Amino acid sequence: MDKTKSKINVSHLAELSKMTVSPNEAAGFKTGFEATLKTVDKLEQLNTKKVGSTFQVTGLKNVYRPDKVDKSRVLSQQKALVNAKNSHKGYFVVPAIFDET
Amino acid sequence: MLKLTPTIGMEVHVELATASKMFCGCPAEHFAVKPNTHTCPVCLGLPGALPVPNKKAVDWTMMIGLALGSTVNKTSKFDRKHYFYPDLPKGFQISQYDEPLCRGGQLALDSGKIINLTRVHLEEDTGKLIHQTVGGKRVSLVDFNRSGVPLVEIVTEPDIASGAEAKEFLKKLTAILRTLKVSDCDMEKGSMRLEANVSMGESLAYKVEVKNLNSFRFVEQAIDYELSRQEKLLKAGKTPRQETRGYDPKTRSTFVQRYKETAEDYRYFPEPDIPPMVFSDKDIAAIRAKLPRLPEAKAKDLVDRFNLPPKLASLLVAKASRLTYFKNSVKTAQTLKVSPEKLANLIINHKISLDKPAAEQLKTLTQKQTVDLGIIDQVIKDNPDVVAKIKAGKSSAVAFLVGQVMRLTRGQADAVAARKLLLKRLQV
Amino acid sequence: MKLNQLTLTEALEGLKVKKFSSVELTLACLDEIKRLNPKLNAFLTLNPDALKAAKAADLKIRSDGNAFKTQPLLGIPYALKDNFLTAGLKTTASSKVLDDYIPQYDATVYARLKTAGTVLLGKTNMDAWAHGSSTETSDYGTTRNPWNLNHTPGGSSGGSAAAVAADMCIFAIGSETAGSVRGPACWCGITGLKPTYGRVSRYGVIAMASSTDSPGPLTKTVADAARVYQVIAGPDPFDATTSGRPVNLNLGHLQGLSLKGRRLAVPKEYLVKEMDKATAKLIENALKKLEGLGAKIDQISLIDPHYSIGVYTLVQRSEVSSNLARYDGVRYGNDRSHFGHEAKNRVMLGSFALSAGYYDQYYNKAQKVRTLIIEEFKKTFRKYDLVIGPVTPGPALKVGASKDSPMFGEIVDMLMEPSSVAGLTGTSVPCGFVTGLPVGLQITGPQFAEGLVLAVSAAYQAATDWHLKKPVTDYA
Repeated sequence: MDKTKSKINVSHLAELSKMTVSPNEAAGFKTGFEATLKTVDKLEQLNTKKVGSTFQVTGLKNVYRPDKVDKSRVLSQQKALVNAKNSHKGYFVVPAIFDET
Repeated sequence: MLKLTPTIGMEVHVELATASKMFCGCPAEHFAVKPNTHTCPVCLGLPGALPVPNKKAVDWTMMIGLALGSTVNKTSKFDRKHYFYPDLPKGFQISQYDEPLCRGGQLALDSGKIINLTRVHLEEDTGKLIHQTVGGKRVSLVDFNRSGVPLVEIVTEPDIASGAEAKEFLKKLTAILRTLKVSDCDMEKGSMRLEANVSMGESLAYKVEVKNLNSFRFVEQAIDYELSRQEKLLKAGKTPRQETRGYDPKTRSTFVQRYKETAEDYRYFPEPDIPPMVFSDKDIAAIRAKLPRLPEAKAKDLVDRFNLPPKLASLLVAKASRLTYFKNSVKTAQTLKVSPEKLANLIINHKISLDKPAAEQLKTLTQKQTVDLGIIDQVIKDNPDVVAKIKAGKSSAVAFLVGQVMRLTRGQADAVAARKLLLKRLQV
Repeated sequence: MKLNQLTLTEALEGLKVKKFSSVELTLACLDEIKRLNPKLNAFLTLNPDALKAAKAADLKIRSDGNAFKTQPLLGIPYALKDNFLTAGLKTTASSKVLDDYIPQYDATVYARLKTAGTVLLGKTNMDAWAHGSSTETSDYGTTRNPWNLNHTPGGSSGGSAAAVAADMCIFAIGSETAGSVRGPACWCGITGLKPTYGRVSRYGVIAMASSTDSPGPLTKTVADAARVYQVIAGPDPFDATTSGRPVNLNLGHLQGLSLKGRRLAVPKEYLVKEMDKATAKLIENALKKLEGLGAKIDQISLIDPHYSIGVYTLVQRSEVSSNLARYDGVRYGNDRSHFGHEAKNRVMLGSFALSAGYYDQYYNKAQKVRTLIIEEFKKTFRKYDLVIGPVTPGPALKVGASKDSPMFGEIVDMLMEPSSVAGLTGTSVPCGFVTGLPVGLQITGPQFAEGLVLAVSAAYQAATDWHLKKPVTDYA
């Protein structure tokens, strides 16, 4: 029984990831994801009951910076906006967002 | 029979008054600053930029937790919280998920009721959106000056039962945070923001989120309105819809802002760019040692030393200027036969100016206290029918006579003393 | 020999004794780029200020006798993978999303190379967003392998590797998430070093998998790689995952290290079923060579690298889905409709692995197996100095072989994924040819063992001449 089949909802994943996927592409992605999951499902064969997860391999802890203003990296307004396709009076512009949060 | 229990939990966001932002060295100041002038690759979410956490923000969060009776977690970390929104430059917010800096805590209201806290954690703020019409088109303008400012989130258990309790909770919380000097907690400037989750009972499995409230007064009104709105619906057999609502102070009612079919999937995972945090008992003790005397302790001190009613003591400690003035003038007041409680009342009710020395002001006020007995007798003589009413048992009518005393003394008399004297004279 | 064919070490020697100038060296490279790039497509963007930098270097060399002490790579022309931000010079990560992106700040690696006096020739082609092992997912066309134009150079640092192999530059910089430096080095017949994770700053490198990304050099020799590593490695306050350990590499110690008694481990599972027979034979020969030099080689057993495919795929794609969330076209670049097929593939799978209800079974499970891999390496390195093996199951694949393979990159890189997810350091050094295509030997050490890894790699290179071979580039 292919338990991965029901898990993949390409249009949901596209929405979640804000990726544009045409109906043509969707079928291809679904097949691909299912094949990928088949490979990664093999990890179930390994017993990990006694180990924790490793999210970072450095072993570093407590890395901070002091609460000081660092002018060297602050961008001028011009530099901050120079790559935007749409800007107005010092602001970035996006289509109107109608709900207030 | 449907059991309805007003159930309110709050999520309070507090901007920390650090010099620099949470994950970069940009100035954290953003109020009335030209747009997009306090940004850098990190807080602008440029390709390749990486976050490095602000130590002071971490320390202050622990301090806040300790001041609120929370337990500092010995291990903590940051996590990524994903959602798309124009004011969130990286497409995720660096926040804390399952290992916040502090867990638990509580705050006691004057009634003695305890509001329990779930957690106190640290995250970064988003940019700001301004809605405008540019070139005939409706657009949203984005300013990232605020993006990356350190934000502490304080979450309560759903222990709050009314708008009044919510307001009191916020006032006490603000007093603590101001004492710690970690934030100016200004709801109008936005350095303190909150959401109230309101329902008529946890078992009813719904809750309404109320947001965008910019004063404690509005918080109280909005919650009370929501409770009554929800009660009406429930009594009519309907379940209130799970949604986000705003508050309109003009109509004094809440309105729908956003309705979501499904909950947001934030896809939390541990922030790979920031090593985890580990705290020893020594580290935590060092933070605790830095705690100043908190409002609750200061209030208790006043109650113990000066016999002030607790509520009055709370009000006095809420503002540093009031408390200082009180402490400096309580001796003088006593020599002028003004009790500490009376002095406190005068301060709270703005009957005394904090900019001028107490001695002079109190002298004038105590002079007012000796009401001319002649005037008392005059008023009694002039109002026989009111006197008759009072003697017949309607003691509330003495208020009218007090008014007359005030009229004759052109407001100079001490109303409380006048009332006492009147009642004495009339032997009631 | 033309100046562009020199190694870094030779070029520095020549500049120091003023045998030639940086301008001459740079012009030689630029000429070769002009000649070969139309066929190889290694470079995406050339640096218009390259000659200016070379002239400034020459001025320094002429006027300051101690110039090379303070600027150890003074006057050397190099190529930089296009995922490293260069202020003022277009940076695209080979994606149309960043088609017109001009960064406003420098990557730390780029800044350090500038301080060291280098001359940036240009930005090299890569798999778009580093998603791949062949450079074929680039939105600007694939790069071709200088040894055979019908084959890929590997990826994702394919442009950098091809540029070094074809002598279009003296050295290049790439980045490895799992296999993206060592893989192309292997397929292009050059030396690649993947430093320990956290050794070289990721600040200003367009992120792929935050927990494994490691910038590293692609060079003509091991000695060259050591020189570049010395300049780029070291703590960076802008990257919280960099190690505070000072870089104590002694270039002198790299020469003439005796392999006598060195204990080397060969994981039998790395000789995978997919291995090409001729490649396996070359690896066997390389092991014999090492034994001949005095090393003691034992076969050991490690977790089958096929499992690493699962670990790496899940961890990497999850982190990728997160790291690419910032590309919304608002502050820079084009909107998300400009993402290519492979980026969509990886981002969506990554979102899935992190999503509610699946996080534990996928992302978290992968991170647990990651722990198993790490622990196993730790155990291995208590007994052995280094782990040796093949880099890829075979030589460079043909262009187009990756088509319709949803996990192409992750499968090609399977032998490098274990050391990558563990954050270890390792090299790929040339060890022979299969049907005219180069093949490499993987030499891996524990974290911060760059000194030993480079020394053993240098010893192997000193006893062989595979690295001296160059492709014939008189393409029709």
